[in-house]
Amino acid sequence: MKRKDFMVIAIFLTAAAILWLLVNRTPGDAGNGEVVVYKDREEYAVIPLTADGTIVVEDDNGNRNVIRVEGGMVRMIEASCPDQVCVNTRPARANGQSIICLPNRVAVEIRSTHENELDGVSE
Amino acid sequence: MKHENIKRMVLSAIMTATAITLHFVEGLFPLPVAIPGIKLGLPNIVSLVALYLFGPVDAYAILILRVLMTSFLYSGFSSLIFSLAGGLLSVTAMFLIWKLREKGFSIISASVAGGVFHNIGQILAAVVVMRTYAVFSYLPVLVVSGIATGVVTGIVSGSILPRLGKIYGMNK
Repeated sequence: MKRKDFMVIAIFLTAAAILWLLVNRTPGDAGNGEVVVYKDREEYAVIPLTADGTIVVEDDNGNRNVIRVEGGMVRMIEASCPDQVCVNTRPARANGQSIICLPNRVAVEIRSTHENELDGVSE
Repeated sequence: MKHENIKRMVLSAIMTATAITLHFVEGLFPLPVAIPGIKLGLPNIVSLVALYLFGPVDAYAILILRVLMTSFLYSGFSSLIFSLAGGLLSVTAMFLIWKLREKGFSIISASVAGGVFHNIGQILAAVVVMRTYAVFSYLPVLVVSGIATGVVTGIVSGSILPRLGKIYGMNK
């Protein structure tokens, strides 16, 4: 390996660190968000973050995800996918945080109830 | 057709077949990591070697053929989007570093850039497919894993490149 190879690696590592900071920056106010569950891109269920409850997402192909909202945070407690990434994701508790199960195309997001934080979405 | 063209075509075909085989082999040995999308990227070895041996045109051709073949053979249309996005960005990144090869950037730089941009491409495809920006939160992890796998495939490519060049009778 040459010196410039290490330079390239260092640049990408720095980029990763900056991205990590951006992704994990202090999220917005918690406690007044709502949990939005998406299945196949479509909104499947919405429940307030303050409520306690369980959402079960099932489809015709036998894919199954169980989402638990409890104590102001939301967790994926069960998934039929092989990798179990979503189950091992840390609980989401603040606006903008999310849990995603890519194999089953299920996404759980916490959305602020105050206002839309996105400027716009292009279709 | 000239002798050289036929040779290039046959060698490209062999490399495409090798890439498809490597894709299959990689599927047999999933890495014990709990994050989807982290793969060793064995077919990227073929992209790299093709780029350094035959140049960018052949590298892109081999990549597109490989992605089409593996998607239709093993997975399906949805994986075609992911593979194509990852592959095209990856080869483009490798190509840009390849252009700087006289300036001290070795094949390992190209491999690392390719690995990182392969994962970036897959994230972008996931954003389009899932229609949520939330998948970006996987990006830092995938960039780091792209560096790690890129170093591995880069070392492998660097060591087979001169041997293959000797066998194929082309030393670029």
